[in-house]
Amino acid sequence: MSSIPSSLGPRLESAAASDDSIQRVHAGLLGQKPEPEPGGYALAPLALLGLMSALILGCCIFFVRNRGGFDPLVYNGRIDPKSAANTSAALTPEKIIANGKAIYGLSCIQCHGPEGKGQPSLFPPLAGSDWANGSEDRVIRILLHGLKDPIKVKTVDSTLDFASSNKMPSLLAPPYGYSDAKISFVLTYVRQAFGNNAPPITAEKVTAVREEIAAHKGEFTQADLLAVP
Amino acid sequence: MSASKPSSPVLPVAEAADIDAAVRLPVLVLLAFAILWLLTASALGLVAAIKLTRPDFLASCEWLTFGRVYPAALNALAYGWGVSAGLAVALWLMARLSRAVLPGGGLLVVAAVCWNVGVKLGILGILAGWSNSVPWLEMPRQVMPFLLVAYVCMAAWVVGALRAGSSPRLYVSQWWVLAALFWLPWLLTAAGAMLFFAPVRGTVQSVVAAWYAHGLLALWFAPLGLGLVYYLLPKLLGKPIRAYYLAPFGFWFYALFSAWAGAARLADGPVPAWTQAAGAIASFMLLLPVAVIAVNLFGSFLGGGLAALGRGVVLRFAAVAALFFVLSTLLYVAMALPGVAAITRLTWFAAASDYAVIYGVFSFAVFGAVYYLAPRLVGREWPFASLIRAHFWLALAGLVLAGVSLSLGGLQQGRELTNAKIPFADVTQHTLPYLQAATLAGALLLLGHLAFAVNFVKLVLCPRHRAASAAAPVPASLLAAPELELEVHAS
Amino acid sequence: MNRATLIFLGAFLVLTLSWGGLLLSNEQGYGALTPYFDDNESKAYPALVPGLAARGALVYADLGCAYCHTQQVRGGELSADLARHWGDRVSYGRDYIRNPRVLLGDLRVGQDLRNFGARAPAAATLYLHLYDPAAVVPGSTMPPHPFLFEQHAISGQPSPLALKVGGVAPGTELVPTERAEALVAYLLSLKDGYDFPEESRKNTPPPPPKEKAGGKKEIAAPAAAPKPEATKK
Repeated sequence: MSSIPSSLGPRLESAAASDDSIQRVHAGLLGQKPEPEPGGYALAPLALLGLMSALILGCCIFFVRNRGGFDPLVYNGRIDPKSAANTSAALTPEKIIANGKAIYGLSCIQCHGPEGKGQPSLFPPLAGSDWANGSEDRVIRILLHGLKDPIKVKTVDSTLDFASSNKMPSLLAPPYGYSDAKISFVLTYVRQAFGNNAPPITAEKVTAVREEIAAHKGEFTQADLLAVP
Repeated sequence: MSASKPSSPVLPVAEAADIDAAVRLPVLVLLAFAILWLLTASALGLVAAIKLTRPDFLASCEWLTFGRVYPAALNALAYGWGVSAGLAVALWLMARLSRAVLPGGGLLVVAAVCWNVGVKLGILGILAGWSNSVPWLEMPRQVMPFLLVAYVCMAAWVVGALRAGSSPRLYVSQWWVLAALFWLPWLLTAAGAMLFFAPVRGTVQSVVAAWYAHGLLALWFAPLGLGLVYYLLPKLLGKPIRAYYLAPFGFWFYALFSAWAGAARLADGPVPAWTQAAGAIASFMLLLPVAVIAVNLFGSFLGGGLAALGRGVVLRFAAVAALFFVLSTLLYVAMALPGVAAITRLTWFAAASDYAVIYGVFSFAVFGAVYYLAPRLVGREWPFASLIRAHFWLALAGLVLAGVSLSLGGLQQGRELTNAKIPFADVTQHTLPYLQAATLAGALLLLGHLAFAVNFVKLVLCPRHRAASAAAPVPASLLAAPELELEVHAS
Repeated sequence: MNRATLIFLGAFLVLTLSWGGLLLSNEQGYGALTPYFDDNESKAYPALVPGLAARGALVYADLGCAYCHTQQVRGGELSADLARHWGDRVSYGRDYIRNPRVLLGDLRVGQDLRNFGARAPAAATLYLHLYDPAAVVPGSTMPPHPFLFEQHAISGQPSPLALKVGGVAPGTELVPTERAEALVAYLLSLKDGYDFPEESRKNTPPPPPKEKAGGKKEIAAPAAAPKPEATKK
């Protein structure tokens, strides 16, 4: 058997073992215990066991730290969704203004105009208006329940009187039905757009006022409003 | 396992010849298809590589725009070359190891033709603009059921060899081959259904795609390559696998963790954090099987095995495949580390590790196996020894050059991508020298494959080449089965 | 032969386990994610994809754009995606639920396109970029797409979309095909402008523990600031 020439080279490589012997020898080896090292123990299985333990430990730690609470909406595993949940939802000032602007464009712009100038003798202006920039309690009331009867509006350069022919509707009632948050957005927008520069109004403040005036029926009048600070 | 031991240690010559004769036709047909696809894939790949650095090359041809020719090349490589060659070699290996004289190879040839027609339609579909754009699943969904049926018919034959065989034992190669044959249709059915026939929504699709992509590479290409290497090493070295009792652990742990490791491809992406973490830890755990497999395979080279590398090219192919298996798996492990993933994902580095599996592991193992088995099937020796050597060195040079240039280029690309001060256009410009090197590598590979194809065609079609050459006639018994007893090594 | 059965069963079990654990559980976990209706804006997000853009997504897939362009703004400490202004925030799973085929991409040969619509140049530039990328970005390695344009004789008014490039015979014009228009509509539709509150809350790191300034923090920071700093546009 050893007479097989290997000189044929790559053109026909000679086998060094038969298929049958490969299978027979390995079948015997499969059940065989590893030969012990001089110290009386088998090194390879021990090393493998050590590697396995270390890997399992490391992987468990890694997974626990990166699992993101098994929440399908967490994409960065290094953030614990439980602690992240304590941070307030991000309503940035830009976002509030953008929302307010969208609502203004939807519900207010028809009367008060794109620049907040209103229309002479029909709809009061918002730009520079003492009402828009004035008391929070009063503007919130106007938006919540509407406004009727004559009103006097001071702007930066003039004082205007408006007749009672037009009523401003309540934004709580249909077809608007706005939430307190939306009312706070549009108010904040109006108080900071058109050259106005009044502090923003929070949704909590709107809620408080709404609860306060729950008993009031119909639109407010100038007199009603001047009665509140 | 307690079957009666044959009295003669040497396999009767006639039996090996009978086994080979029964699978000769289907194996040669599959190999012929495979080699055609290999040439097609290398040519398409070369076109794609050139386009990366010279976008004006063939720019006006819509069919050959980069976004089509690149997936077409990869599909031709994976399904044309990969599956045809993988099944051819698996069929021969299974018939040999199960000692089955398979009847009815004609039906298998029909299935093989169907498979290759399906792949052809699929690749034409990609080039014509019906691509799904899902990596490794680009072929139009209409051809998928057709491919699946053809595949099952072919794979059933290989499994049938096991049932029909007379060998009472299963060798480790058979585990790997059997499992791989079964995993591919499973992966294809599940992923095809969830992506194309009843599509899931949102980025669940990306999880499916990553599971499939990794499954194709790690549960089809790598196992088949490993199965061949596990066979070729003892076959050519005449020594058993070192620490063979560990081989089952290597097999099962590799399967268990590779199936999950695909999720690591989605690191930092818009998929749930736990999924990314699961993929990462599955990849880390791959260290365990890869250690076992490395001991098994490299252990065989201890004690004089390295010298044997100089003797035969089959062994060299197998050794490179073993080396690249370990290397590519270690790359997958490294790329699962969060700090490394942030740099290497979405770069050429990640692509290079995938090519390493499909080319370095699978294709090299198949080349080696074909150089061993084809002369035995045909009953003649290879016509040109020089072309065999040329193939090996060209393929190795191409593999190493492509691997090194894409890895280095990918690392640089990844490092620069994470630095927002470097304009994006510059990041791409800086990878161009590496891509040019990879293009050169593609050309080397194509040359090597041409050498392989010429040799194969001459071997199969020209029965009288030996008369023309000056080499001494080969004794018939040597051609049939010059097989020895495996020596049980002591130490 | 018993062992072969064992290997089959084991192989089946191993892959089924990963299928259930990775695919099925994710499908159950967030496969039915719904658009989020923002009560304040009275709109649902992500927005519906217009019809032309939806057809453009098919062109995007058939031309294989996804092999060079990703569509995911990645988080992570090292990632520079936000610093490169590829998006105002990292991508969330919910961003993709209106996309029939999700193509996150594997490779960034070209820039990330997830928010391309938010930073895109004018459509005319985009058409020219598709026709001849190097004319818009010198040295670009993006493949030209001349096959997305057709040359025909000017009849009546010249097309407003006609490309202003040399080499066009007098009396004719080079206009984008329907596919090119769909593709451009798709590219311009790519923007994830809306920050979903639930995802935003769950993926914003808590401020106190580690204050390593990352791109992400800069966006979260103003939220904590008092509202009076609000400025008008």
